[in-house]
Amino acid sequence: MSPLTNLEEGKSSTIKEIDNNMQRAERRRLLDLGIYPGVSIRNCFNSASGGSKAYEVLGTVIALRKEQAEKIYLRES
Amino acid sequence: MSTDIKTESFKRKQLKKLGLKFDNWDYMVALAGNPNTGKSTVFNALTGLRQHTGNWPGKTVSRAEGAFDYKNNRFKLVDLPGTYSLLSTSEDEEIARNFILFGQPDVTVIVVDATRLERNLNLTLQILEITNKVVICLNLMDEAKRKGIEIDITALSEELGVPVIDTVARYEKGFDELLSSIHEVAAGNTNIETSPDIEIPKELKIPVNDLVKDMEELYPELPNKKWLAIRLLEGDKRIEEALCSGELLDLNKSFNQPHLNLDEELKLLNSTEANHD
Repeated sequence: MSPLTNLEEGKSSTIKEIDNNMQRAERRRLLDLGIYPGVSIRNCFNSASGGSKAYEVLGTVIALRKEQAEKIYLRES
Repeated sequence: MSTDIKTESFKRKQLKKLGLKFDNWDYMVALAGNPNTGKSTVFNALTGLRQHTGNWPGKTVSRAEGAFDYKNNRFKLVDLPGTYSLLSTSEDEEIARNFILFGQPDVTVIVVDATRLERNLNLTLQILEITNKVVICLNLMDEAKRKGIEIDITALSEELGVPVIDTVARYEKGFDELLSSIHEVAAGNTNIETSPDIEIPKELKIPVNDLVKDMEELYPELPNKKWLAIRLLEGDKRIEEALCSGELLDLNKSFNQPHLNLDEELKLLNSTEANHD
């Protein structure tokens, strides 16, 4: 499965699922930010350090750390 | 278009902006919503203020409070921090959540961004889980129109079971209807029903009811026990801790203490400001 970290800058895809290892508060946080299956997500820009990236989801730009983005999987296009 | 806007604000003679005079209120109204939905614009338009910060019980985080008079009823308006959720553990979200849970406002106005409806409905549903004394202020309707977004307001209101009022807060458009809805809900004149979708699943009903019964014995004074029971079943560690340590009981007490009058509030405000210097 392709993780969100593989999404190239400027490209969009659809969220397939969140890793089952992400539970409770961590999972809840992602759901509250609009990260859930079926939602379209775009990589707006990568930070210079490569640690976190900015994504546009449901009309708002949010920043995710690499550790979180790795556990969000995309639909194969 | 511009004449429409003028007539609109002229018509609103029934509104008196009371600024900071929020003692002796008849109804308390909470303003909730995602960040950047125009909450403060609504707040300032109704109170005539340009944001005033005060103190939360036991905490030094800013909130805004003000007042207005509508049809000879005095309303105290509390502007809560803008949040995407009430369930995560950031300080802002806890403030908003605690106020809705324990402050028990007569009405909670949820300011919703019409151009980002799906995102905004998350918080809306979370608030509707706690209370159905809600009015939805569907704001930024001008931007939505510009973007070609059409919203079936009647259907949305039916689905959510609460009034939905479309507004453009910047021009105070739709405020007559908004004020009249707030008044109706505050006075208990509307038939508000919880949408069946917001009810808890059948399988959860028995465990939730059992926990509620236990809490009725242990913490009879705590409001919103059903909501607390659902959080406990979810494994919400923060709520579990706050319940067991007595933090929630203290919070509830602090919200139900006699209210400070304006002089006391200002004294408190001045002393906090002095501390910051």
